[in-house]
Amino acid sequence: MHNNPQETERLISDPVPGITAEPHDDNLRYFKVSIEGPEQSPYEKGIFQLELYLPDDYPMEAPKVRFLTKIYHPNIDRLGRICLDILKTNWSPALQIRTVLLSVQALLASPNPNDPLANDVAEDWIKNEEGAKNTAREWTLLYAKKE
Amino acid sequence: MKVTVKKIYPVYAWSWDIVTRKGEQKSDVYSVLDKYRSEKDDVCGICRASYNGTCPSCKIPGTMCPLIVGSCNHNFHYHCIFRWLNTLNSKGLCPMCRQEFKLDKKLVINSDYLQKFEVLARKNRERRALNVDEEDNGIDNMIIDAAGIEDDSSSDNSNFLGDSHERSDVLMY
Repeated sequence: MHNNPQETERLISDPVPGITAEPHDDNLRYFKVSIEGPEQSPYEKGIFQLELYLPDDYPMEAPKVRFLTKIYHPNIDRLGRICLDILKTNWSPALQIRTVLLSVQALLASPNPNDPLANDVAEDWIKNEEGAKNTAREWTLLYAKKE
Repeated sequence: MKVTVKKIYPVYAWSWDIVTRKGEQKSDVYSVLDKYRSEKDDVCGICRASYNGTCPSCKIPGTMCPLIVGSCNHNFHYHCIFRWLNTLNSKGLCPMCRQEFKLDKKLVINSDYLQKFEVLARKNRERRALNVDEEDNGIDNMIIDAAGIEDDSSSDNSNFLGDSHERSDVLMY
């Protein structure tokens, strides 16, 4: 029900800097995604792997996106699920895979501990922001290394 | 000099008339073309196929897969925007500018669909007022039926522009 081939083509021919998205050979609705951690964030120099799935109803329904790489972030839980309004209540069919992934990258640059998904991380973030950022940096070095 | 025409090859092109307003004279070809060319983003904001192409559910462009124009000046294939507005998530909003989606009532091209969108907008307002959590499939099916989305691709070409000289929303030239 959508222009997946065209959108996929553009993702590959005109990629967003710092973001890659490749469809799976067996399932063109399933994308292997990598996002570079934004500069001057605790995730800088990290490469984060994600998976993105286009539901049958896309673009009437938001894509499903999940972090595969472990990450210390108040809006991303230990299963990699992401708390981001445009993926839920504020989805619009005018958004595309690329805009979704840009929003995820922007979420790494500006965590929002007041709307948490990982409660313990958010608490840590609010009580001791520097300490939390250090943990995030450590996790980035540990789990999100460039290969 | 005597010229004999042996063969002619007529070439036709068409475009949705997104210019002509009610009570005005039908726009001339050039103003429609100019408008069409000036729209850089002349693709449906939802499926990103050209206005004059079809939505992903249709195969034949033209009257079978009409274009409609919002009062916010955002244009969509009728089927695309109808499907979106029929989801609970849409909250009745335009996908591009997130204002309440309404048809531009003065555009001739919209006139056949005003009532259907009015009904849908009312339904959306009611749903929001009731804060319904679950999508009512019964209503969904009913609305899709009313929208006349046909999966049946066997329908022949006779509808395709065949009756366009009688229609006000297609501009032939």
